[in-house]
Amino acid sequence: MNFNWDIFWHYLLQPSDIYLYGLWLTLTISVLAMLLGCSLGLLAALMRLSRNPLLQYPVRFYVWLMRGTPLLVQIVFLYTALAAGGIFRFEDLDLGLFTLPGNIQAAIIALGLNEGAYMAEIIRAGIGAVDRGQYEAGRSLGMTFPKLMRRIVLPQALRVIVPPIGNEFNVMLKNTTLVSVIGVPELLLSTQMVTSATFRVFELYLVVAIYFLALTTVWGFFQRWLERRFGKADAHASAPRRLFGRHAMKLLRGR
Amino acid sequence: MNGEIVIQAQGVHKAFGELEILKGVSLEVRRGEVVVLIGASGSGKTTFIRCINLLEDIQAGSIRVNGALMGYRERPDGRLVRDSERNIARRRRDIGMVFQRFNLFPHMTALENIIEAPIQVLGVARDTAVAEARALLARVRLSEKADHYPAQLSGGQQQRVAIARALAMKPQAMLFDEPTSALDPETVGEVLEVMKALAEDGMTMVVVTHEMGFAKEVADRVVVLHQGELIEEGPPAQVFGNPHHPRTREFLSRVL
Repeated sequence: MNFNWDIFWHYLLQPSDIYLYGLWLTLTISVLAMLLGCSLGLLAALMRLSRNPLLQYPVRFYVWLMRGTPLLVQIVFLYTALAAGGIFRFEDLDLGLFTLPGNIQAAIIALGLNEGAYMAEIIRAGIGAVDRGQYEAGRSLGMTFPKLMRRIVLPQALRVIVPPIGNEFNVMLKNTTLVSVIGVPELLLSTQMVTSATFRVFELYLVVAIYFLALTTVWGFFQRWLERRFGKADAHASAPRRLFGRHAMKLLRGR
Repeated sequence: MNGEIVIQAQGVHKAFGELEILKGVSLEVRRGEVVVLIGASGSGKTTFIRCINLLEDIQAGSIRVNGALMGYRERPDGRLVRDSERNIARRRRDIGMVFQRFNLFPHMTALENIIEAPIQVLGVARDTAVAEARALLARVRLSEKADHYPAQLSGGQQQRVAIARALAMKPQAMLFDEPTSALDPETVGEVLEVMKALAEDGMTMVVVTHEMGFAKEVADRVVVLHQGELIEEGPPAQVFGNPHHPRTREFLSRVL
């Protein structure tokens, strides 16, 4: 077996700057894309719940499109295909303190758009899980729809929404590797760059796998804390959770 | 009773698709009056009070509260146009509603449940709202439960908090939709007592209930609904003692 422990330990414990920059990019892109996804998802979920077809159908189309095409295709389409077709080109953005390269913008937007479709369904399910009586109580007290949503429905929906959001972020961390194809030097592309110079493919891919494991594990701890926090004062578990239990629900969600 | 009319329903029709639930119900409720609606299940009594504060929209007829139409605006030329959501929300403030299943906000304590709408909807200062809420909790005899969440309260306690929550909006009238039907028998009494005290304080109330004892004792007027129509109304002594309509007699013989 061609495996050099020294190189493995060296890259695992003393990562080069290129690696650390990749790690930083992976995290930043994940967080920003997730924030974008959550905002889009909330907006889409509220539009989808509207009885107005002009609001409802664009969202149905969006969700259908995003869930029906591979994320990798979406990324390449947004950054490369649109530019090749002369429709839209992501330009580097000078933000004073630093320059935000076009491909990183495209990466955040592509991942965020894709995430938004999944978040829309998650938030819709969360809002749907809130008892109808809560709406009636709020309305009978003279609340308008936005107030009802903000004060009564969304805080309750959050308990149903938070666990799957945790899973979505876990998926997001891993999905950032896909933006390596448009040249964003996140963890995977950084690894590729190092391997092309050192030819230590086995060791370095093992290192990158361990890095991702570490990221998702740390996130897992945080997620458990988050779920405990939002589960507080909640005597009633959601119906499916009561039926199948928490871990079965995680499996059923399937991602 | 000869106070001014608070709630005036005229020829209210309500249908769910093909199914006609209300076939032209008219009812007037005067200030300080306690009207109890009785009738078999499916007679439309719950639907009727839900129509009063527009939780259900109606297909024909009109509902006025303090003389003003609910849900519609009258144009100068007399035509009716559907009111905006915002105005409907505003009109609902005048009518408190108590639900069969309480519908307390589970993520808020009893006190927070009560102050929520006064602060968020009426714009009352927090201190004032809290002081009023404490007074209301004392009125429903739950002062010591102010910081409990609904899940930590019994059914009867939850329903009393729900009554306090509705009262916090200082409504002109209160609607009760089978307020004791979801309760354990031993907690029914405490809720009825609170409602009785409320009636004695002069609150205008429309109550849908199966508690005939409450109707006899507290109601100024008992109204009987049968298959979406108002078939009989009168003081409890008359409706219970000497009902005119054969359907009323049939219904009462089953429940008494």
